[in-house]
Parts: sequence; C-alpha cells; structure tokens
Amino acid sequence: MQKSKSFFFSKILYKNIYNVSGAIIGKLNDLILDFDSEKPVIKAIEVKIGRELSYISSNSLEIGKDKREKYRVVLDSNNIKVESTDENDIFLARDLLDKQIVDINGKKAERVNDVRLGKISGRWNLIAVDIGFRGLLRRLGVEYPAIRISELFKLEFRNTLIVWDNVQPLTTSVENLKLSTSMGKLKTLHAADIADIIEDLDKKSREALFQSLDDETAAEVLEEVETEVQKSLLETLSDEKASDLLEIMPSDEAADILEEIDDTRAERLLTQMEAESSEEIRELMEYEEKTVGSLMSKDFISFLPDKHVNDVVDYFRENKSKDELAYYIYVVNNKGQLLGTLAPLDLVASEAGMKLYDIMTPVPKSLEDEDNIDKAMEVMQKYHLVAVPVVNEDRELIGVISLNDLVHEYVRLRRVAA
Amino acid sequence: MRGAMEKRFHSLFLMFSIIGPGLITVNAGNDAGGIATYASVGASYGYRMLWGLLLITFSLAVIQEMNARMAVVTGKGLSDLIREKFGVKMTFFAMSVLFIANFGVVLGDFAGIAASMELFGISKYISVPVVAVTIWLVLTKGSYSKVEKIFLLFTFVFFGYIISAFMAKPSWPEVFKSMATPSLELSTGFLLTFIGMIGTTITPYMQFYLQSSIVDKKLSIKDYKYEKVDVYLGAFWGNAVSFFIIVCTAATLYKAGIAITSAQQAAVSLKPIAGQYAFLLFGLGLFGASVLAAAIIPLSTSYAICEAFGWERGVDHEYKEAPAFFGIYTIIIFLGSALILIPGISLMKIILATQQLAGILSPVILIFMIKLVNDKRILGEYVNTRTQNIVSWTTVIFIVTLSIILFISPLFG
Repeated sequence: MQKSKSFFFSKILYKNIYNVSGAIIGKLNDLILDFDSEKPVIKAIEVKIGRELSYISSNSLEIGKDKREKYRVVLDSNNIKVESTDENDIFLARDLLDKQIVDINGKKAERVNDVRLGKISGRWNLIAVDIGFRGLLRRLGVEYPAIRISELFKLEFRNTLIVWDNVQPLTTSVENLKLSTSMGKLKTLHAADIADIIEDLDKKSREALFQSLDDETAAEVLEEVETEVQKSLLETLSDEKASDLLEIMPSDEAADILEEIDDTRAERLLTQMEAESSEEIRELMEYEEKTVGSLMSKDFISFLPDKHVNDVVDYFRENKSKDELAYYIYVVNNKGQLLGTLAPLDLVASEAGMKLYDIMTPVPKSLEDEDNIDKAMEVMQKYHLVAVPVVNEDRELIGVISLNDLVHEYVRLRRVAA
Repeated sequence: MRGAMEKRFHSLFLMFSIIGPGLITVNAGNDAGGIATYASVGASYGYRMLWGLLLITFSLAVIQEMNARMAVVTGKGLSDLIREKFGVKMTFFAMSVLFIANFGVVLGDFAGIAASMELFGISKYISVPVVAVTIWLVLTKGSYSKVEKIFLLFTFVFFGYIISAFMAKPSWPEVFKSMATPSLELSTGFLLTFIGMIGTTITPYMQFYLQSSIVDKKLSIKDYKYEKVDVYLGAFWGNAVSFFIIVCTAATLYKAGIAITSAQQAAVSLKPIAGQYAFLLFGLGLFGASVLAAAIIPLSTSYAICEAFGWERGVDHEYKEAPAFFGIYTIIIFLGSALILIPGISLMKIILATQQLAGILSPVILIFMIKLVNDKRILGEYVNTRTQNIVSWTTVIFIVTLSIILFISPLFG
C-alpha cells in the first residue's frame, strides 16, 4: 500500500475509515471545504459512526492506494480533533458533486461527475472537477470493466477535467448562498457569453449569478438574454435596481422589456428613472410593432454644422462612448433637423480647423419613425449602411436604427415562430 | 393609466397563458394505452373499478401539484433534482426504470397506431414503418411543436365518449354507488387491469414531462396559483374523460358480455353516438392519440436521461454535439416499432400489458419525488404538507401492495 498524492473523491466517498492500527473508525460521509483560500481546502471530514455523524479534522488524513487501485482512508486516531460545523459550511458531496458549475473556458454550464483532490504542501486541496463520461462510469463503479470493453472496440475514455481556476461554482440550495457570492471568475467573460450561460441555468443559480454582476455587466446581460429570462430576472430585482439597469441599457432595449412586463410594474419603474430617460423610453413604447420607431435607439451623437473637427475629436476623447453609438455622427441645425452625416473616419482624415458643414455628407438617407422595418432593411441593403438616422415628419432627428437592431429583431421573430 | 377593467383582463389573460402544461400532459396521457385500458376496465368489469378511478384522480392531482411546485420553486427538471440529491447510482437506477416504463408505453402506442390503421384496412407492415420514420423526421428536424397541436386536436374525438356515455343510458344510480363502494377481487385478471388503470393514469413519464414543461415556462412563485389551477384542472378533466370511457364501455360492451380483444370491439362502444361511423371516429382518435404519445414520450425520455447525466440535449443541436440525445429517442422509436412488426402478436394485449408494466414501476419514481418534495434544502418553506404526504404515500403503498398481491396470489391460487 503506497500513499496517494491525488485521487478522485468518488474513490473514498462512503468508504470505511481506518485508524493506524487497522480498526474501522466509521464511514466517510462527506468532506467539508474551506473556500476562503485560493484553492478550496479540506477542513474536516464528516464521519458516520453507527448512525451518528461527527466531524473530524482532516489534519491526519492519509489516503493509501494498492496495486489494484483500491483506496484506503486512514486517520491517525491519536490525533483526532473534533470540529464544529455550521450551516454556512460547504460540503463537497452535498453542495458540489452532481451539481452544476460554469466552465469558464468552455463558457458553458456543466455537471460535476467527480472531483479530483490532491495534496499540496501538506494540505488536501480541490484541484479539478470531472465532467466527463468516464467520471460517470467511475461513480457507477464500472470504470475499469467499461474501459476494458471499450478497448475491444478501439475506443478510449479520457477523463474530462476542468482545473479549479476555470470553475465557477453555483449556489445549490435555499440557504447556502456562500458558494456563489463571489462570481469573480465570470468577470473575464463577455456579457453575451454570460447571457448564454444564464439561459441554461436553473432559476436559483440564475438569480444568484445575475445578482452578483456589477450594474454595467448586468445591464448588458439583461439586454442579451431571451425575453422569458428577462422577465423572470426582472421579477427578482427590486424596483430601484431594475430601473437602474434599464437606465443603463439602450432606450430601445429598455422599451422592449418594459412592454413585456406587467403594466403597473413598468409604470413604477419608469417613474423611478430620471425624467429624460423615462421620456425617451415612453416615446419608444408608443410605437406600433414592426415600425422603425419601435426598434430605433434614442441614443445618438449630433452636432451643429459650424462645429470644428477638433471640437468633435475632443468630445470623443472626453466622453468614451459605446461603439454602436459612433457608427455615424449626425449634423443637425438648431431646430434639430437632420442636415448630414459623418463617419468617424471623416474626422480623422480632415484638418482640425474644418467645420463639419464642409466635410459632412449632405441629405443623407433617412427613415421616418412610422416606416415599416422592411423599408429599413431595404435602405441598409441598397446603400450598404450599418445605421440609418430616423426623423419625424418635421425632419427632426429622433433616433437611429442599426443593422444590429434589425438582426436582433429578426432572431427574436424567428425564435417566436419556432 | 389604464382602467381596472383592463387589468382584470390582463390577469385573465395571464391565467390562460399559464394554463396549458397540466391540461396537455393529462390529455396526452389518454393515449392508446389509456383508451384501451379504460375501455377494457369498463368492458370486463363494468362499473366495479370506478371507485379506484375516483381515488387515483385525487392522487394524480396531488402528485402533479408536487411536480408543479418543484418546477416553480427550483426551476429544475425532475431528473436534475434526482441527480443532485441522490447521486449517480440512484439516478442510473431511476433512469433505467423510466426508460423501461417509457419504452413499454411507446411500444403500446405503436401497437395503437397499428390497431387504428387496421380499422381502415391498412396493414401494420405499412402503417407502423411509415409513421415511425415520419415521427423520427419531424422530431429530428425540430418542427415537432408545430405538429403537436394537430394531433392534440385528434384526441378531442374522445370527448365523443362523454356524449356516447349519456346516450348509452347507463344506470346512473349504479354508477354513483360503485364510485362510493370499493370492491377488490383477488384474481390475476382483476389486479392486472386495476394496476394497468393506475399505470396509465399516473404514468412515470408524465411526471418528468409535466415538470419540464412548467420549468420551460419560467414561472415565478407569484404565478404559482394559476399553475396550480392548471394541474388540478388537468387531472380532473383528464380523468373525467377516462370516467366516461369506462361508463360508456360498461353500458355497452360489459352489458353485451364482450371483453375487449381488438380495436374493433373497443370501437363498438362509440356506436350510440356515431352509429356506423363508430369505427371511423374511434380509429381517428386512437391514431391521433397514439402518434402524439409516440412522439412526445421518446423525446421526453431522451431529455430526462440527458438532463440527469449532464449530456447535451435539444433538437437544435447537431447530431455530433448531442449523440446520446438523438440516440436515445431514435432507439426507442425504431426498436419500439420493429417489435410491433413481429407477425402474429396481439396488439391489444401489448397495449394493455405495457400499461400494467408502467403501473408496477410507477411507485419507484413516486418515491424519488416524495423524498425530493420533502427536502427543506431544496424546497424551503414549500415542502409537502401532512395531507399531501399522506395522499402520496398512500398511493405508493397501495400500488406496491397490489403488485405484491399480484405476484404472490398465483402461489396460493
């Protein structure tokens, strides 16, 4: 029997625990983990002695392995220290095994089939989780027979491990929220990826994960998820937080969401917002479905024609704006009527002292807010535009419709039809 | 902003948008197995099992409410919950039981397809392969949800049983008397039929299917009161149809001393309403119900198993991404239909036997469910009440006891 440095949790779960002289102490029922350090460390062992559960410090835990891959759990009984537990403790079998986690690398929710533990500088750590088929076979106790059979067919079962650095655990029960309070690992992902993951999760994990995001990311994620999920996420938020997120979102997206939810709640959320945002959103909500107005964004950048190029460049330096906003820069007169457009490249290519009036494309292609979205598509396709300004009947610039808005709408309609 | 009237309409609308899973599930439960079993209950034993139907209606309502509650509170499917609480070995056991029970029911439904087409003079060697391939194509191309409603329409034919039951002029006092007076006969035939009746009413697949469809609706606990209406309504409405099938066949076939051995005989009970068109009506209804179930059950089995083991699932995946998902329903459909093509087998016997198998297996899934629904770590304050536990445990013990008697009674016979 040699000492094992790392092993799969399923190999010791529910197995007998021996003392040094070879007598059985009890059965290993679960392990309690300390999540405060960088890698989770085994803190204590839940031992079932008869019908009683007790908690023993894992300091003297040794795992032995014989030649036939049989594992033996040994505790130095001279050195047994009883630990206390509370309801915030995280149990490996109860809270992590068989539960869902997020694989940060694969950007997907996965189920934990087994857990790899290893001894690093004298302490047992959680090294990786196994999400593969071989883990399932191991749990069923048929890992090696199955491998032998599969070898006959020249198949190979490999372990599919995700190292702990790439694992984001999720909350699993009503009380135990500690696991997911730090969603730090998710921060590296793009909002659209987080949205995909969130759609796959169950309600509790979804809510916990969403609550842990900062407002900016949360707003982006909310914008990306499908309508049903948007509704259910909004329901769990306080009015204050919900209206904050909606204010951060582009006004057209916010209007779409508010149209889907309960009228009285929508009204409450709108009154919580700053007057400017809520007015924009209200105007957008008035439009009929499938009109350009219902899809357009109220966020755009416009200047008067006598502005100089360097003023505009300065403006962009000082106000970092989203990419989507800066497809085009619009030139309007003092009545707000659309005169021309500029691409950001035009600014770079022009002398600092030139006026916008001299470099803009006059009489640009535009749409009216009551136009059908089919017309928007036609215009974009015909003139190769990624965004088209939207004017009202007085030719005042009131919004912008982008190719992105149309793609979103198209995908949404297809989803509804399916 | 908007009037109170409109608000009331809004909540009415909300209610109708939530109502659905429960009704559809129970309606789909009245498949070939359901129709044949209820018909043979009435034809062979008259009104004598009506008390049992009445009791299991309450059981069904309580059990389905448990599914709805788990779905709304946890947002997880039944397989998810089983896996998370019981680990891989028990999950493997539960999924094996589910697979066997569901495979049986699908077998019964392909028998139903064969039997209904034979009423129109179409050989099973043509109807079964054609329907199996069509179902497989429709599922694989992901256009199932569009077709679902068409077949659901077919099943409305069985409402004909309600009218037919009245026109057959059963003795209503006798009907009500048998609903209130439990009687049990310790013969193998009686016990099997009784277990079949339970099996087709509380089919294991229904619990998985219902819970998943409610999860998919992403309801919040606030809307739970509407969902509750849905499952209760579903249970009582579905079993009301079963009730009239039994009454109808009792008043016609039992009276005439005809035990059901073929679809033709089962169709006779629709004669009071449809006369010479009884075969047509029965054939269409049986066909629609069987096709509906032969599509839903393989798909829901595949979802449940893949969910339990964390495998990729969903018809929007490519075959390579989700081989287990496509593999499982493909095997169920083609193996199920191939077995029906064995020459000389009795279609009616297969339909009835598979329901009895489902009945014997149903307590396994129910025990998993009751354990889950009483776990405070999973459901918090929404765990079962005492009454719900009494009803569900009684149901389990009752079915288990019947099964045990069934197996040991030949020893003393």
